[in-house]
Amino acid sequence: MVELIAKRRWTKQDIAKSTEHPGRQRHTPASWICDLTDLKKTILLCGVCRVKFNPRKHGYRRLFVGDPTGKTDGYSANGRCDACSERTENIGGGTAFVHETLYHAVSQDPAVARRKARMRWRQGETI
Amino acid sequence: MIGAYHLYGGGPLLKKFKVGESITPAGQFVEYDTNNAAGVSEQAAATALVFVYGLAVDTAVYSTTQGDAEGLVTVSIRPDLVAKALASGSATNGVALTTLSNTSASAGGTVVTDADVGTTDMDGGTIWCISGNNVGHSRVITTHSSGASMTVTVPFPRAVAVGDEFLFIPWATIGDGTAGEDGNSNVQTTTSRDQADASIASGTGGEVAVVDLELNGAGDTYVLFVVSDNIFGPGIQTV
Repeated sequence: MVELIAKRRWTKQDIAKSTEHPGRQRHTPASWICDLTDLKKTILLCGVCRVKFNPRKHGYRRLFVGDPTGKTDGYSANGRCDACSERTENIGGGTAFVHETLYHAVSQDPAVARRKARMRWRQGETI
Repeated sequence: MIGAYHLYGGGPLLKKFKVGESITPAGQFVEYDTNNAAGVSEQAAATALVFVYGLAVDTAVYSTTQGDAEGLVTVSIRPDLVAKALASGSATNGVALTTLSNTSASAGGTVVTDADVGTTDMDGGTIWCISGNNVGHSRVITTHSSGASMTVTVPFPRAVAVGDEFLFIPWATIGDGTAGEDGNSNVQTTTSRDQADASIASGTGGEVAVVDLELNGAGDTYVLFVVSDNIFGPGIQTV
């Protein structure tokens, strides 16, 4: 019997898949979300689970990433829902919540951006 | 740095990854590093952006102790993500950009003279006026005379007077990556990886495509860019 050994060529995408965290496993959705909030992790929730999460209570704000096409309001994010583990794009779209302490490090604040723009306009800056 | 927007529109795609080392602070690119193969890592060097997974939107603690929580970090993985990084005047975060105060009048509006231009080659970068007749106007730097002056080809609209103040950065939105036209091709991060080091020469740092510049004051100027070597980018790449 002859055995053929073929060398596997790992792609970057293979490595990426192997390092992906599976998310919630033996927890209930609520306890997993509590674990994440305790660690100030970013939380992604689908349209159904989102209404059960009170971001203010845990010191969270919605992640804002501008959308130059205008198709979303900037508060849309997708991926695997941290509560139900379903893909958020299949359940009404997702929303990401970032802990307040990290918010300005990772998210644009639309209110601040608007305030700065108005200030520049008042000062007549053209850059 | 923050995720400003995506070139093709829409919202971010988030994934949680295992980590191969602690990730802190948030707002830095994470990558694959063979030295930390248990998961994603911080940039191995501020000068390179390779095998990038995306922008970390939280922090993570790595532990090899049994019973500790497994470290995981949330990453915004879309390869068309435009990252917005604050320009720092050194490799340390939050240092103001160098302000030039012109010491020799230039009637033609093409030369800004000040020893503070330094010895680092900014040819291909951008210079803009923050005080004087040309306030609000920016130009691409075409000649950097070490320790003496910077010259632009397209003149500022009015004469550059003694005492006029300018700021400069090594980046521009145009260029082809060759010497002197390399302001759009590289960004070097600060030592903590979450801001952009504006004190380095144009054309050094990780490979990126500069998309935009927000030219403000010495402490609130930003560079917006897309990372070139994102593993979720087009094509299957083997390692």
